[in-house]
Amino acid sequence: MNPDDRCGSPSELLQPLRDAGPGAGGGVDVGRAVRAGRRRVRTRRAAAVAASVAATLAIVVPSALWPRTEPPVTPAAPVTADPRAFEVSTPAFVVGSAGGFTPDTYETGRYQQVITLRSADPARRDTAVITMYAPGRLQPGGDPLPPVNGRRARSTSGGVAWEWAPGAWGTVTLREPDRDKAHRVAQSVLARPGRPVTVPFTVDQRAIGPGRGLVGVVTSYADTGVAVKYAAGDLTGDRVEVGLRPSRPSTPPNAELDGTPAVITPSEVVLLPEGERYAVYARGGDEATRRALVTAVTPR
Amino acid sequence: MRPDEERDYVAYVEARLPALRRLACYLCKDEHRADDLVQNTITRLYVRWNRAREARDLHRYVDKMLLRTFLNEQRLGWWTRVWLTDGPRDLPGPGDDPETRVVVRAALARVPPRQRAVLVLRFLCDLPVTEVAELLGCSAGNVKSQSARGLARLRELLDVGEFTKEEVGGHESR
Repeated sequence: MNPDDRCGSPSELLQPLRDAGPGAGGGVDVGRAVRAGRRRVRTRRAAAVAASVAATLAIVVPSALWPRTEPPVTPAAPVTADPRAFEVSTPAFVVGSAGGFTPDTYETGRYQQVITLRSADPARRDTAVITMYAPGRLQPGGDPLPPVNGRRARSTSGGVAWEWAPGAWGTVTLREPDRDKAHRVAQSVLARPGRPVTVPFTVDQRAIGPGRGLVGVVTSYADTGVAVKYAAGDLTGDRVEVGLRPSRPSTPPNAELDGTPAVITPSEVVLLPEGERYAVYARGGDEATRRALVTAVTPR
Repeated sequence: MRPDEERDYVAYVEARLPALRRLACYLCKDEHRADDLVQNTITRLYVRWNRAREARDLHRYVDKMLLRTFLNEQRLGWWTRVWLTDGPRDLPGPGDDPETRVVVRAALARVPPRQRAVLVLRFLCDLPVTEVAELLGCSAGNVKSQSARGLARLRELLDVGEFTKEEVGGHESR
């Protein structure tokens, strides 16, 4: 091998391994892991019982670590077991770091769930967006691409679309289009419903307005913010969003709401509770709605 | 484990298997050893499934489990490993340039395990320094120094010229 062929950046040096990957199949057997795991669990239980009897100690295991709270206000669309929709406040996918991107925020929703990603390199400002559609909500065109996790994939203008379940597609779009990276990002997405998102505040229903209901919850992976989105029951009309995020001391207040300093801009109302590290913000709707929303938030 | 939890576990593992095998292949000298590592990891995952499924980032939780299993095996020695096959251990896999791959893989396998894990996570899995540090349970500074040492060792083993400051700098800044 000519050393000059390999000599480049560290990533280029290791590129031959990246390209290859493991062969198909392999010697890993999930059934064997399940059987071995069951044996280990039984052994541990038996050992634990023996130890507790010998020591005549009682161990109390708390049944719940902390109370979980539902997102404020009922969903906008009827809560029925619709196989062609997601649960409105439950993430339906897990996403890993891949292709040089790492997950940043997750937005739940009944008909689409959106994950934004940022570059894993803080010095770069690359971003990517994964949009996972409920069955029947997207039928992409585009040229066929290599499968993603064994499922059909097609090219899109900014990246890749793939069929994550029969009749259900997801897309990955990169700000700087790069199909290889988009493909790697798509491979990191797995369909796996989690638990309903918990929200650390309540919102007074009167401020949300009649006819509006919950359409999604936005959480950040770094636990730096959380927001809820509301819209009309038929999902037409504008959406309003209210949430918490870290307060920025550099932002000077230009108004006061119910005695609390606030920043009011044409698109946003931000309440800055004194002595708190968080700010309450509202977007969407008209200014009166936004003002009412930020003052209707009560941290739990 | 309840039947529905077990189904959940099997579905997750089956979907994640290609990614876990890819990471294990980067870390291990050959595919058979990589399969042993994955087998061991998913067995441990079964035992801890109830805790794992509560994790905010399940992928990262399982990746961390695989890395710890890998590093523990390196520390504890061959007798702790689960051998699945008696087949040959250094067969080249599919690809465009099997010769180059075998050489690079052999060189990487001779880099000390912890430095190897850092190189794999940073330059093959494209993870930032902070995430590698979190996965390996060490500081970002430690990750950078392990990267530098690992790259130096790899370069020495492959007998290639030194990386320029710019070539390494793009990664060091992460």
